[in-house]
Amino acid sequence: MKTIIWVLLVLSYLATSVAKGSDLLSSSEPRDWTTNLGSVHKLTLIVQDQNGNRIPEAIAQASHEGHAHVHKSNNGVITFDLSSDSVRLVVQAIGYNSYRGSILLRRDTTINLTLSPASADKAEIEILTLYQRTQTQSISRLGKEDLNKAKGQMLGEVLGGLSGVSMFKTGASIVKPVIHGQSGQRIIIMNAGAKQEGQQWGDEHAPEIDPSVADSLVVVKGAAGVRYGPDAIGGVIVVEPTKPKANAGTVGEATFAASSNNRMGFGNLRLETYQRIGALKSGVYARIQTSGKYAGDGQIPTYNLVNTGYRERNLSLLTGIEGYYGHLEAFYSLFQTELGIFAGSHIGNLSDLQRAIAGNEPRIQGPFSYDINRPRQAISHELLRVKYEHLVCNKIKVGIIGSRQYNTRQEYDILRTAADNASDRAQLNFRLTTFQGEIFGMNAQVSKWQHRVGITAMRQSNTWDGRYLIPSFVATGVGGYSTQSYKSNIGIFEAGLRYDLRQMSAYFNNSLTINEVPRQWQGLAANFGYVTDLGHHLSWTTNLGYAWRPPSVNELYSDGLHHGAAAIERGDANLTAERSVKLTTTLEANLPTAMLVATAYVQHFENYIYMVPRLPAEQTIRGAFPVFQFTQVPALFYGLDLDATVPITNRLSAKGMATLVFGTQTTSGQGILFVPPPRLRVNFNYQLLSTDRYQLYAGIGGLTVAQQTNAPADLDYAPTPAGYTVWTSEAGLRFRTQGQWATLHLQIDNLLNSQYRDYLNRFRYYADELGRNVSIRLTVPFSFQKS
Amino acid sequence: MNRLFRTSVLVIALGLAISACKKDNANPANPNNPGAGDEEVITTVELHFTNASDTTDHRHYRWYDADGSGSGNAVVDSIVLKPSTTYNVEVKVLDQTKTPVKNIAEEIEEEANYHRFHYTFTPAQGSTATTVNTTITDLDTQTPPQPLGLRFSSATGAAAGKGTFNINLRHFANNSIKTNVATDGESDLDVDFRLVVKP
Repeated sequence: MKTIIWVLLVLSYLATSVAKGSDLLSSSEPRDWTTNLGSVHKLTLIVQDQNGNRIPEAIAQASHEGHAHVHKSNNGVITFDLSSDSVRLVVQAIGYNSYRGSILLRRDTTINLTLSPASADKAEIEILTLYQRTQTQSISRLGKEDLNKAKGQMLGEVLGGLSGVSMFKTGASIVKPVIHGQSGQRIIIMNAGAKQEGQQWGDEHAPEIDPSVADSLVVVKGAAGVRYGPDAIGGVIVVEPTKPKANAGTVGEATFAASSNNRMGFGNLRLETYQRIGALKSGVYARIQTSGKYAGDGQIPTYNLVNTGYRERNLSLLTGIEGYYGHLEAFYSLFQTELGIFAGSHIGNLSDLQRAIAGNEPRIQGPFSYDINRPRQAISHELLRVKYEHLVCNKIKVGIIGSRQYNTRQEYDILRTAADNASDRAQLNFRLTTFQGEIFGMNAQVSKWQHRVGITAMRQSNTWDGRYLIPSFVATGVGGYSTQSYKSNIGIFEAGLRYDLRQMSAYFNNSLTINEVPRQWQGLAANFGYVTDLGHHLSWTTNLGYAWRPPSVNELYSDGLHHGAAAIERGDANLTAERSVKLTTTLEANLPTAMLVATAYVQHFENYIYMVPRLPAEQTIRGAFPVFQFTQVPALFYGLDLDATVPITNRLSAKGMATLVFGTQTTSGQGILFVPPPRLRVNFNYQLLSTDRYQLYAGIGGLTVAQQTNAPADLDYAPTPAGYTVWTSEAGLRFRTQGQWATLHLQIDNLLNSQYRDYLNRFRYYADELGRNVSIRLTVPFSFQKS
Repeated sequence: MNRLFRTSVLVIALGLAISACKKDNANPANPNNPGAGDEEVITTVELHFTNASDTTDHRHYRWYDADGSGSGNAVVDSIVLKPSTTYNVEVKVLDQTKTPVKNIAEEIEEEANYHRFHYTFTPAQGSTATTVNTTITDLDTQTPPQPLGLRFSSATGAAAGKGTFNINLRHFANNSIKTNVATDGESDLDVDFRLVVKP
């Protein structure tokens, strides 16, 4: 019995980190674990019931940013040796309400905890909700502190620091995340519980999400098709705004940031309130958040990347009302951006491209400017999500989630005449409307078995005008899933199954007649997972996922010249669904001297949809262009992620991360394009000063990226760029204001102003990566609470 | 009261945002307004040759791709010229996917200061004695004026034979400086004709 609970807690840690992390994290949470090493202190918890009797089966989890220790009680006494002074605690025992809190550990400490007896308690239901997530999947998480440090960056950049995650860039202004070598249509982003639906099929279409909305970002690095539906073949990014804390009253936070390279200014303001009504655990809450960015041209050590500025405006609103049985919540967000595409990337034809590659510096150069000219993009994304959850007979929790998204995208090409270029007419216009709904039910009681079932539906319509790239279409989908997990003495087993049916009707306008082309796909997704505690601070998790996705609209129907790539891209209307099986296994060691996480995976694709060159190059009136055709090949990806955190002295700690991924077409043995090359990151953090009022820290880190040697040379215009090492340095000051920690953070990226090119940047043919960037950020929390 | 006020302000703000939701008015099943189409399509290059010493000797040749850079193939005429003859040539550039047909040469003329044609004759193997010398005869409006190339003269040598006649139109961005170097700027047109010199 104890073992079961033990394992349960290990898992609920993972689950907790999925969506609940910042609830545990009090707003006075000063630092992450790595910047935070003091000497080792003993923490003793004495857990008792209301009558003062010790609870023998209690378990406690002590966690720092991203890592957790779980210890069982010895007749009601639980002890930890912790090197961190800021610790979040969760203490649980079957039949009792959980305790959650945050403590500052400065010396050996003993705490007496009294747990109240549980009914079908809300808190337990919440844990279960989280527990039902894909906890046997490999997960990386960015907590509040990591997100704060990254304020002002784009979503793809924020995630790019995680192990197993890379960035696929188009110049300096467009960044897409890559998980275990997969990106674009193979990754889904869950934005506040809704699957993000933009024009994500495009390589130069970045996710339309403001990372400032989120309190935590979680990356699921597996085939998570059961829980998240088709397309979740390569991984899932969960962007979750959490509800305001019940005891905090009305609070807010303001962030200002500026960076030197593109002379960017950034501001973010958040205001939230929770008001209790009547009985305990009932209240209404609301949050408003808004942010803006204004950036000019990015700069390479020796020149300026003309036309790479961007602007961004965001607004999000969250409001809800909760009682003992019901919880209603609405979330709205609006994301708007306008961004310039590097002027030197607009290519006339293949000979022009070859000349651009041969030249060391871009053809078009100019002084720094905030101006955004053609080629440019203007994007707007609106999301409205409403959720209602209800507790039925104290046993079953049922929920309904509905959402609507509206995405518009305008692309402005460079045109032939000055008059056309001066006009405000976009050459590509897309409007995409998506409705999604889900109804689910799950058991709300702690038991050996956990079940969740759900049905989902979606409807999507796309219209366009201007230059043809993809057709208008109406897509619909329905699906149903069931997940079960069973806790035994030897570990937790979980299994899930899902069925989905997708239909898409594309409409082609051939002069006067409209041609409707309907397609239909269906597929099963399955998931099996196992997690066990191996003893000696070791846990082992393994997951086998089978997932699928229908071909995307561009893979089926694109037909035409792609100016950014100087290539003609052709879809294949007969493509079948892509199906994949992925095995992931993770070994995690939580030792007092180090924390190590190693994840290995292998993923096989039956029908990997892939662009291959079709020879000869096509002769058009503009000259010759290589033709790329979407086709399907069997493919194999495999790799390894390593994370290590090592305290060196009381004040100094090191953090390392390594990512390896390989991708090949299994029939030809040829490599696959744009697979991330091996990368290694090491950071050192030093605690200069730590008092109750001030904290001062500094750090230095290096990132080494090797040359990609497994790339298919004949499919690429230029050889893969050489490997590189770049250095980053940071320093910061935290100070108390109104009882909360404010932060002033200074960071220098590309410290040595190195000139290098990155394989995963589509503009590596024409330009280097950005030079040195000094950024400064100030985060000030404030409170309207009477205290 | 104050609490209630604060909360209701936020709730009202949310309500406003929701009612502000934007809507797509187009119907995907009836895409009757695909808009301007591709504004950058060029379907046709025509070369009108007039014999300088015999104006009744007029011949014209066409490079035509009905769908621009779509999947259909281009239909290309072979140019046939007499030896030891000078021709005055006028170039027409059209987009025939539009109604009425769009005259792109007119646009090029209007932006003469940002365009430059280059003409290159490459003799085929075994025809190395064959020559076609091209001289651009029209100028742009810069000071001093620079060649444009919508009009040119071609002088054939005495030797019969065949080769490839390449037309490359270089386009210079509006904030850049036009040059006479064939590799500067960006390609707007880059087409090859088969050219035969025979009596």
